[in-house]
Amino acid sequence: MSEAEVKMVLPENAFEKLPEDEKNNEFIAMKSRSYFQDVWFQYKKNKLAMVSLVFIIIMVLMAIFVPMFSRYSYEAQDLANPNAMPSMAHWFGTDKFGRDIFIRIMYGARISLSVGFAAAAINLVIGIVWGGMCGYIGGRFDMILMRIVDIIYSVPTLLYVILIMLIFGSNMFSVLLAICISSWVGLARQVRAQVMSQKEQEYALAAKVLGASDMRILFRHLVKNSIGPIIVNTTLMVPSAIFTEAFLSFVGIGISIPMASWGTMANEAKNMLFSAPLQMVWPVSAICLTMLALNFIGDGLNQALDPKKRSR
Amino acid sequence: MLKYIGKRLLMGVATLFALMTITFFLMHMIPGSPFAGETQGLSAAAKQQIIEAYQLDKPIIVQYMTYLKNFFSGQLGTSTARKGVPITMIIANGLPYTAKVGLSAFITAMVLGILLGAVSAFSKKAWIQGLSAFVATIGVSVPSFLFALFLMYLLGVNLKLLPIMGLTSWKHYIMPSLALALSPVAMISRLTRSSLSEELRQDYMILALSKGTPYRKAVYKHALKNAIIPVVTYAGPLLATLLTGSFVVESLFTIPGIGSEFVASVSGRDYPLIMALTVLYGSLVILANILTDIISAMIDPRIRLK
Amino acid sequence: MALLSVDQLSIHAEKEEGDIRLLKSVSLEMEKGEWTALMGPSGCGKTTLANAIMGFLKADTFCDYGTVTFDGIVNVPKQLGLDFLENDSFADVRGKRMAYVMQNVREAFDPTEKIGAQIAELYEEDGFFEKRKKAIAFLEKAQVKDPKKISRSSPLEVSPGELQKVMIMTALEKDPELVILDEPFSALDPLSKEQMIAELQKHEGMSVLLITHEPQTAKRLCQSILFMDEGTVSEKRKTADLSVEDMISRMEI
Repeated sequence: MSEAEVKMVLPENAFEKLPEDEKNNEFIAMKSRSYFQDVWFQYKKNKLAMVSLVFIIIMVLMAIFVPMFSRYSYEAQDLANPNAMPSMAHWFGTDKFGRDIFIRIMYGARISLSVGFAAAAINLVIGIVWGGMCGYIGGRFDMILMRIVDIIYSVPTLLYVILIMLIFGSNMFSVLLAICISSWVGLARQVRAQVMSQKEQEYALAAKVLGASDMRILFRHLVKNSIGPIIVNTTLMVPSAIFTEAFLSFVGIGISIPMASWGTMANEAKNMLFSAPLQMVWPVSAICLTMLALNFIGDGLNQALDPKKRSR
Repeated sequence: MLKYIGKRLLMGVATLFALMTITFFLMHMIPGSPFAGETQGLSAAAKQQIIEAYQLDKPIIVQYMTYLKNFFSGQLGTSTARKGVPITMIIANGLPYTAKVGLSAFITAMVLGILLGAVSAFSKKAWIQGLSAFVATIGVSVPSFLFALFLMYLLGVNLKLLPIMGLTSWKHYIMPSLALALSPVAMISRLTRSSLSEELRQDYMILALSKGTPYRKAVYKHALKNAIIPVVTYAGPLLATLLTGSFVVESLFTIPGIGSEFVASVSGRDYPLIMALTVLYGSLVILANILTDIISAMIDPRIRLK
Repeated sequence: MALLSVDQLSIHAEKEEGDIRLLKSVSLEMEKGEWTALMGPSGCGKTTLANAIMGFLKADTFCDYGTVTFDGIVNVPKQLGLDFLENDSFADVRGKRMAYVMQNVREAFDPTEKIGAQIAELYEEDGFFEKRKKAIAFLEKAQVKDPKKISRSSPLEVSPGELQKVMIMTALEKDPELVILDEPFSALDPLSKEQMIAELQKHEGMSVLLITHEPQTAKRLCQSILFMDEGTVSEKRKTADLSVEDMISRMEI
C-alpha cells in the first residue's frame, strides 16, 4: 500500500495535537491518592465550601494581625467623635463612646474564633476518650458512663452554661468551660457507637490476633476508621460554640464589657437600633457570615468524607 | 408497651434526682451564696429566714435531705431578691406565658417545617427548591435573638405591622414564635425532606401501589407516616429547647415569662429562685423526652419490639 | 395480541463503583391465560424485571430504553418519588387488572401500619368498620392462624410465611388478568404452598409470571420457561421439552 492511498483514507485533519493542559489529565486521573488527598480532592469540588474556607482563613488572619498593627484599640474612647458614619478614618464608623467599630469587630473575631476552635478541640478530646473507652471496654463500665452521659444530655445546655457563669464569673474561661461541659456528650455517643460497630469488624479482630496491644487497637484502628463523622461533628461544634458565646454575651452574662465580643456589641447596638441601625449591622453580619461559612465547611467535609455521598 | 413506659419513667425520675443533686452542690460551691454559709450580702432577717428554711447550721447531708423534703412537699421557699414573694407564685405567674409562647413556636416550627420539607420533596419547581435552600441557610446561620431583633426592626418599627412588646393579643405571639421557630423550621424541613424521599422508594410503597392504592393516598398513609418518625424524635428535645431557649426572646419582647425571671434571678443572685427554676426546666426537658420516646414507640413498632 | 409484552427494556443502576447494566434489551411476550416461569441465577435481573413490568424502578436506577405494554397500554417504568406522578399509564390497571407478589416480605409491608389496616386498603369504597370486617373475613379466607390477632398485629410481629399468604391473597382479591409472583412460596410450608397454588389455579384465564428457583414447581405449573442470565433473556422453552435436570444445568450457568 502506497503512502498516497493512506492519505485518501485518513483526511489530514483527522488527528490533532492535544493542548498542553489536557495532556496531563490522564496522568492525574491515574495517580493514586492517599485518604486525605482524596478527601481534599472531593472537598475542592464544592465551590461554596471552598469560598467559606477562604473566608474563615482570611478572618483568622485578620483577627490575628489587624489588632497588632492598628492605631486604634478596642477600648480607647473618643468622646468627641461618637456614632460616626463609616469613613476613611473609621471604616465601620464608631459607637456611642467613639470607639472604632472595625477594630472591635476584629477583637470580637479573636474571641469568637478562639472560643469556637478551643471548644471544638476540647470536645474532641473528651468525646473521643470517653466514647472510645465506653465502646471499647463495654460492660458495666460502659453502662455507668453512658448513664452519666444520658443525664447530662437530658438537661438543657443553657442551664449548665448559666450556672457555670454564676460560679466562675463572666470571663472567657467560664464561657469555654460552660460550652464544653455539656457539648461533648453528643460526640461521645457518636464515638461509642462507631467504636462498637468497628470492634465487630474483621480487621480489629485480626489486629488483636496478631498481638497488637489494646490501646493501639483502640486508637490506631478504631478511631482512624471512624474519623469521618467525628471530623464533621467537630467542625459543626465550632459554629455552635460561637453561637453560645454570642448568645451569652448578648444576654449580658458572657464576656463582660468593655471587652469586645460580637454578642456584647450586638447588645450595645440594640439600644441604638432606632437611631443608628448601622451599628447593629456589623456584629450581626460578622456572626451570621461566620456561622454560615463554618456550616458550609461542615457540609463540604461531610460530603467529602462520606463515600456514599461523594458525587461521581 | 407498658413495661417500656415504666422503664422510661424510672429513668426520668433518676435523671431529675441527679439534676437536683448537682444543682444543690453547685449552689454550695458558689462563693458568696447563702448556701455556702457566707450570707454577708443579706439582711439579718433574710439570713435568719434562709438558715431556718434550709437548716444551714446543720451538716450538709441534713441540708440536702431537707432540701429534697421541702421540694417534694412543694415548699420552694421565697425569693431573696423580691422579699417575701413565694417562688411558687412567681412560677405560677410566669409559666403560662412561657408555655404559650413556647407551644406556639413549637406548633409553628412543626407545621411550617413539615410542610416545607414535604413540598420540596415532591415539587420540582425552582422557586420552591430555592425557598427551602434559603430557609435552611438562614436557619443555620442566624441566631434566634438576632432574627428576633431583625423582625422587631422590620415588622414592628419600620412597617408598624405588629406590636413589639407584651403578650396581650394574638398578634403579640407572631414575632416571638417566628423568632424561636426559625432554626427548627430549617432543621425539620431538612429532616422531612430527606426521610420522605427515602421512604418514597421503599418496597412497601411498591406493594401499596401494586394493590391499587392511589399514589397520593399511599404517600399520605405510608410514606409520610414513616418519614415523620425522625421528626418526632427531634421534636421532643425541640419542645424543651423552645421552652428554655426563650430566655432572650422573652426579655427582648418584654414577655413576663419564667425565661426572663431566670435571667433576672441569675443577675440578681436570687439563689432559691435559680434552684427552683433549674429543677423546673430540667423536669420539663425530661418530661418532653419521655413523651417523645413514648410517641415514637407508638408510631414505630420497631422501637417497641426491640 | 399478547396480553403483556416487554419491548427491548434496558435499565441501568448508578452505583458508587460506576454504572451497572441490570437489564440489557429484554423482550418477552405473554398470552392470556399463559403461565410462564422466569428462572436464572441470583442477581441476573429477575426482580428488576418484575418491578419494571409493574412500572417501578428502585432507587438510583434508570430506564434507558424500551417499554412495557399491558393490553395495549404502553408504560415506561419510573422511580418512585422522582417523577412518578407524570405519565404513569398503569395507574388505573395496577391492582385491578395486574397484581404483584413481592419477594422481600419483610419490607413489603409498612412496618408502622397494622396488617388489618393494610388489607383494608383493598376496599377503598367501604366505610371504616365495613373495611375492618372485610379485612378479617379476608384473613379467614387466607387461612392464616388466628386471623383476629394478625389483623391487629404489626407486620414485624407476624411470621414471613403468614405475610406471604396475605400478600398472595391480596394480589388475587380483585381477580386480575395478570399476576407477577416473585418467589412467592419461599417462606411457606408444603401444605400452605399447595393451598396457595390451589388458590391461584381457581382463577381461570389468568396469566401468571412466576419467578422461582424450584425447577419442579416451574415444570409442574407453567407451560413455558424463560431463562435469564446477566440481564438478558437467554432462552425461552416449552416446559414439556425440558427435564428437571436440564433446568438445573441452565440455572447454574
